[in-house]
Amino acid sequence: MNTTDLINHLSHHRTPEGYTFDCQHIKGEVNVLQVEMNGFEGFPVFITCTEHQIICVVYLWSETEIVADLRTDMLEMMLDTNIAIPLSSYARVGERYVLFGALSISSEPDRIIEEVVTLNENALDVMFAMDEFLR
Amino acid sequence: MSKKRQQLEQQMMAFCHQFRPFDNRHTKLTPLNISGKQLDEIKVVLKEAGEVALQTDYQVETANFNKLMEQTERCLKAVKRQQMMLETTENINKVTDVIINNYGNEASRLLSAKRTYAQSKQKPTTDLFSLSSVKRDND
Repeated sequence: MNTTDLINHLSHHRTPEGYTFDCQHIKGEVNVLQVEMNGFEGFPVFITCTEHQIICVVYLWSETEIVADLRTDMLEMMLDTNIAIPLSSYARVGERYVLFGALSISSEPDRIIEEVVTLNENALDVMFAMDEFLR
Repeated sequence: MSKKRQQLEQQMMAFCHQFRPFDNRHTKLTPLNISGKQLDEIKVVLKEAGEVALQTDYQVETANFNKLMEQTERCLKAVKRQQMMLETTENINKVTDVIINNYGNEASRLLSAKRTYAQSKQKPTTDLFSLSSVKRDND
């Protein structure tokens, strides 16, 4: 599935919970799709495709936003909770911490929608739990 | 052993020798020395080797030959896997650059859920803290 097809699908989709999606294609060296969920005060999800995978990312915070004395506690907390968070994992890209989900390049659009919704819900839970480690 | 088969065996062994990810404990995610052209070549070799193996009457020789083919397939799979990891790492770093280049100052908001969360009234579904051994300050 190419990004144009995905934009078309997402733009016309309404989930059973009533969420709809705003999609925007960001041009650059790699194709990036920015997806925002209407009806949920969440976070922008950035979608990119490689030859084998579709990667959906929410940027959480950067190193500079962490309370230095609590950094180890934060990392431990991330390790403790990572497996419980459905369909998403933590990672670090440069100095930025992210929550991401990876799908096969042959995934159906409905799986990508499920990933976007789940990422938003997960990111909200993460922000609530990690807030005290951040400044 | 036919000359063709000998030649194919040499090519497979050379490939496995060139790329031995399982023998190197310090393999890092650095650009591979194996080109796409070389990968295509080894795929052709494997295809030809499969055809030769089918035509061979001798069971033991065929078994050895098949084993070498399997070993080459594993090396090929490892190369593809490493290429995929490199590609993904490069890609995701470029995504951040693309966002920054397009949004300028506004990118810092998009690249930090923390900033958005501060203004959000949405309630979380779960308290992840309860799943962690880390203690809250006020516990």
